[in-house]
Amino acid sequence: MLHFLRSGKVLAFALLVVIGMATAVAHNRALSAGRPFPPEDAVRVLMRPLQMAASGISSLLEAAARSMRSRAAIRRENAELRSEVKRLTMEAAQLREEAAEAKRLRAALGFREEATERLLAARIISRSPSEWFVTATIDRGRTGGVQPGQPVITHRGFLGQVFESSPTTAQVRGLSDSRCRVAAMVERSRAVGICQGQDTELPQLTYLTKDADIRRGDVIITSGLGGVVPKGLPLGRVVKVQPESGGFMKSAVLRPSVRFDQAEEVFVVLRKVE
Amino acid sequence: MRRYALPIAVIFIAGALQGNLPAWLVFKGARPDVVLVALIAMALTLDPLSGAIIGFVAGTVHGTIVGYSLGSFIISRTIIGFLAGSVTFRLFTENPVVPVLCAGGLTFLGEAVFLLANPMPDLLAVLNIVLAKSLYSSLLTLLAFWFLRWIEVRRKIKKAEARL
Repeated sequence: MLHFLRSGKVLAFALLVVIGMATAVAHNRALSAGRPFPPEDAVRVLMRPLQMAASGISSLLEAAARSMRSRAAIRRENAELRSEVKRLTMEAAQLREEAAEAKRLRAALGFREEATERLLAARIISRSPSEWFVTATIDRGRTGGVQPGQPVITHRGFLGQVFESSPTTAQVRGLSDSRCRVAAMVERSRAVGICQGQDTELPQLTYLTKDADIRRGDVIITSGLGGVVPKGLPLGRVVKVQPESGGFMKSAVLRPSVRFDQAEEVFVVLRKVE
Repeated sequence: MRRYALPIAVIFIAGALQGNLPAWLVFKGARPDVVLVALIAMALTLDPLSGAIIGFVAGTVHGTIVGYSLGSFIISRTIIGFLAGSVTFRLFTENPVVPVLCAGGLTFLGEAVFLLANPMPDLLAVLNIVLAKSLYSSLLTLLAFWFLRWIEVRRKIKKAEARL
């Protein structure tokens, strides 16, 4: 044992740990400055084809499992989807009418037309590789114009935000991650707050004033304050309203509109982030 | 350098699998850590320094696919690789209980080191997840152990046949 300790192996091990510590400092600096970290970029470029292959195999297996479900379940799902299509067709017609009306009114008031967002389609190739963080990797990176801070959405609503990008891939943190914060509001009453992940399945809407009009079942959308995340994207539905300690504020627990573990195809909102 | 090529390739493949594990594998909030199991299974057959080097690579790969706490992943996995490498290959091949206990204990230790650098609010919930994860690692290492032993036995048979 003593011979082993005296050998250069322990020194080499200590050196590896010191390199690890130096990497931690350099990586944190790069992350907080929104700069790329070259060693990570290199690993990500190498990992991308493997992740794409693993993601493809995983999707194939899931599709096979789905196709093995019983006929009765498929018939039931078909009936549900038909009624959903009818409901959504009616809702779409109503919304088209309201959009046209809003456009007319905006024009009449001389408001500036809101810029249409440029969306970049991407696919999730790796997701939540650790229990402690709600993150995913998408198959588009800096070469596609993806930058830290840009929001990532699906057709159901807000999914998360890019926090790192390499030349070919980007890392996205989900709404449930405790590092994710989005300016939000209650769709019905327009009460504003901050939607914040709790590292659990259910994020919270915090910083609500104690008299804010919010109740169970309310839909929470992005408020667009800050200019990074577009306004009006669904974040989730309120499942519980609770007072904060001190009694001056209250918060609400949300069920996210997009399930992070089930999202596959996503869109990156290509906004320039300052 | 050539002796590290295969373990490093295995770690990269494990990293790709780690991000595509089906949701039904999650048990009490813990998911199997394929990268960690691959690291422990391989480091048990190597010397301490080689284990530490493979651990360093495993930490880099895992930290990179997560995107956060790269340094914590590197340090915790380097320590795990070094300790797993300290268990001799002889002990490993003759007694399956050793790698199973090693995997459980090292997963617990590695997560403890990681959580020291990244404290989480709910300690009890975290402890439950870490215990479930350690159990997962033990079971998966047992499977990896049987697989490695099967390879080892076949290699010895081939060697003996060649001598005859």
